[in-house]
Amino acid sequence: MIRGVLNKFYEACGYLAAAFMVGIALAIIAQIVARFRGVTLDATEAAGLCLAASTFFGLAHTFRHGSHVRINLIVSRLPAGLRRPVEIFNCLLGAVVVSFLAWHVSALALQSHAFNDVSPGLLAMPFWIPQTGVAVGVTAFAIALIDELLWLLSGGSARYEAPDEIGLDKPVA
Amino acid sequence: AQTAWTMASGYPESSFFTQNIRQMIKEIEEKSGGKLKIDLRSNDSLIKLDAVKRAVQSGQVQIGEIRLGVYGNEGAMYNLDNIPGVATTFDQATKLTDAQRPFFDELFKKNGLRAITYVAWPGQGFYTKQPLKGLADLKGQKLRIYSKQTQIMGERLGMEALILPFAEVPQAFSTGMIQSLWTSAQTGTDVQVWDYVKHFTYTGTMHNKNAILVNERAFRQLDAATQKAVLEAGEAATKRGWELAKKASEERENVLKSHGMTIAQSPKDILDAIEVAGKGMVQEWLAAATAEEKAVYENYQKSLK
Amino acid sequence: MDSIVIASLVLAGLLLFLLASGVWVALSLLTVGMVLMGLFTTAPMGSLVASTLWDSSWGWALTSLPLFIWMGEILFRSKLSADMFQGLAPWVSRLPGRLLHVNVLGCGIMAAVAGSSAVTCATIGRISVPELEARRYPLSMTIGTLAGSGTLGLLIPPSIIMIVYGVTAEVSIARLFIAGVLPGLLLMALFMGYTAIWSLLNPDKMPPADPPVPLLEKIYRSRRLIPVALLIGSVVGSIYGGIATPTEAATIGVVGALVLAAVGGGLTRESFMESLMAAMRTSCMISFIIACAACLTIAVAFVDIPRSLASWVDAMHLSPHALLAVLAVFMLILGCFLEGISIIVLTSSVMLPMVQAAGIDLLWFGIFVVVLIEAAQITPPVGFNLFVLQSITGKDILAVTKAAIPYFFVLMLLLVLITIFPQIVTILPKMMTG
Ligand code: NA
Ligand code: NA
Repeated sequence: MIRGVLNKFYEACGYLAAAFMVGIALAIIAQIVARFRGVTLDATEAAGLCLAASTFFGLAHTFRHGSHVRINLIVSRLPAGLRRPVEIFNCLLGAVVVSFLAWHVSALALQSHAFNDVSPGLLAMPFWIPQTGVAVGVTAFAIALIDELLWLLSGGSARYEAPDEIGLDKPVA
Repeated sequence: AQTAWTMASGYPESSFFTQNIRQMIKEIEEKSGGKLKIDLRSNDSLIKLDAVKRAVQSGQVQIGEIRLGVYGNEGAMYNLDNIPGVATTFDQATKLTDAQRPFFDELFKKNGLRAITYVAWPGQGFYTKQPLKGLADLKGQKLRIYSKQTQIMGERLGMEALILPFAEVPQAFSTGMIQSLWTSAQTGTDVQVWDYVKHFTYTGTMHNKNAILVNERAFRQLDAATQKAVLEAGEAATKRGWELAKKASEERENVLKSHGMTIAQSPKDILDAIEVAGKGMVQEWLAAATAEEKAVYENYQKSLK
Repeated sequence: MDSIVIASLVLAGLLLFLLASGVWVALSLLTVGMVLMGLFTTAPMGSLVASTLWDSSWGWALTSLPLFIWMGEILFRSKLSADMFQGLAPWVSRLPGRLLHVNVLGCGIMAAVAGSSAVTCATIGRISVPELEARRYPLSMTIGTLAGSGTLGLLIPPSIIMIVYGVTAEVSIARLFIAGVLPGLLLMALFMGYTAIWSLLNPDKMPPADPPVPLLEKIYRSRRLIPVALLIGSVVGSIYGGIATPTEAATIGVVGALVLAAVGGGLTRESFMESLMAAMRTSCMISFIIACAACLTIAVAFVDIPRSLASWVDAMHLSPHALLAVLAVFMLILGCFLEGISIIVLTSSVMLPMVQAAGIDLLWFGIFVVVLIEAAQITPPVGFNLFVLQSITGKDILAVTKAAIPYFFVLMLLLVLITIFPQIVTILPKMMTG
């Protein structure tokens, strides 16, 4: 039950990240079109904020998809008995570090709100808004890492192995 | 006890802002009898320029230099010296600063900050391929601008205003995306503008300001004598800064000349057009300003008489 | 001074340990940054890490990254990239190395559009790896050519790294751009030369030759090149025609690729969503590494490691050539751990006066630095092209690094060549002055 909800949650974050990636393109298209019509529209800031949103909302989904790069050269050659504790160590370290980060990114968003920090460009975006997005994305990543840690501890095997892209992803033509 | 501060700033060592800071640090160390040492990390090497205010406010570093105009979206006062025509000479810029100072002191105090130095940027002008004989020469030119105010100014002068990140300027020039720049002699030499244009027409128009901010908590932890040393050195840096800015302006203009550029004072009709554009913006500024902010502008106007 | 040595050892040791344990690259960088700041500075670590992560994640310079990657994904999922290789194959059948040269040339063209190495490598790699793999080209050569020529993104204008250097060293950015052109072309020639020689020496590892195709047939087959040529033309043309900035050109690339895929019939709802999600993941992975690398950088800056090391070099009082050699080694070592732009920013305050005092031309030195930073993209453990290629090919970073080694030495050869013949760098900017 919880597992199903979590998987849906990571997936939803992934789609949100993709939507923001489309947002980058839309912002820049608007900028080009506006320029041709002689209107000054600066979309660099909006595009940048979409990029940040895309990156952070995408973290958990990308993690579950095995797309975060790591060097599993040694790990993959360890005997199963030794490999397990190493993977548990990795997820534990990741969970601790990313939870710590989630805490401080949330603090940053609160601080920006308290400081009344606003982006310098035409958008005049209060920074706490995109930073709250960052906090949500990093928290989702922390949850995914803790989820994975508990899964490993309960006897499961790692679900974040990178798929061999070449083998699986032949061109559709 | 000895205290060590870290200072962040956003300009290279060769910039007069950085030279001014170096001198200020030297004076603080001497006057405090070596009790306060400041490690300056210039040129964005520790904290990027736009993030320095938050870094000082949150105590990541104890002291740093900011560009006030960056925070125009946070409060109208940050924008006043960004409006064309409000302070067109160094003398006016000094008076404007004096009028703004009590307001800023109050604002920074509320935010746990303290401004110890204000330094004005040299005045600005147009960088163009052809000499500017009058307003007509500007019509239809593609101008790179950097703020809402300069955009409005450019458009009211009949130009096509284009906002571009600083780093895209060289490429945009060489591909013809932009034809002219509106900025200071300092920034002009920073992008080695002579590779693209031959004429600098000085208009003055505005003197943006930088400020050196100290984290109030870190400041309070100093003993009284050291606090005094910091404030005095900061005050001295303000005075020296204005001199350095004037000198840098001349020096940079000489650099432009030495690369074959022609320097000219602006034709009257361009200045008039900028003034008209600026007046409109002042009215808009006043309409949006709070009573305290309006008072600052009125005090400044009085001080001019 | 001692604490600098200890901090440097902790940095190298801990990073290698975490990476070897299989901790995700981004998290390894982040952890080392946190540990360094926690152990060796009094700075508020948590707050600095959070604000640095934020500041480095929304810059305009990065916005072209996801878009170009998406363009590559769309092309890869439509027939377009297969068509392109089929159209090119007959023309290069006599050239030793054959379609491998497409990587070098493709990266060269992409480098004229993109300002960074990871973008260049990821875009071309996404398109060419599956095609070359299907044609049984040796994967190590595919990876090597991509790793090496991906770095052209920094040397062939536009280049973000040159802009940072230009502003810092007060050298004309336009001149730096021009100065990079000849070394960039030379580097392409060297990469292609190495690839050709390797193919001649290892004919058994190359796929069997296609039957010769008559000229008319060659021309007829080239029609398949038209769509991609149009796309490349519009992206490059939009920049050099002054219509779009390099960042905007990425959007034109995406829209163009979508239009071509739709017209060519290869675009379905599924393939659109797949391309979007895959691009999002790759871009998320790279951007997160960049943000975490920035956290390591600010830790290293607070501990003051690069500036201290550079001061040691300064204290050696070396002759110009010895100085260049030592600086090259110094930057290669930094390049193993830090990202390119931060190397320049963190060392310039000590390094540039030193170089100037030795009477070295700062314009020439800019290109020298850019070549060293290109090399940093393919040196482990922190090399962005290595990460990109690992993600595209699914091969481990060690295999990727091994494949890239010859191309690293080609870069070093270029470094030697521009030192012996500085004219390679200076002749075009001199002509510009007239
Ligand atoms: Na490039
Ligand atoms: Na490296």
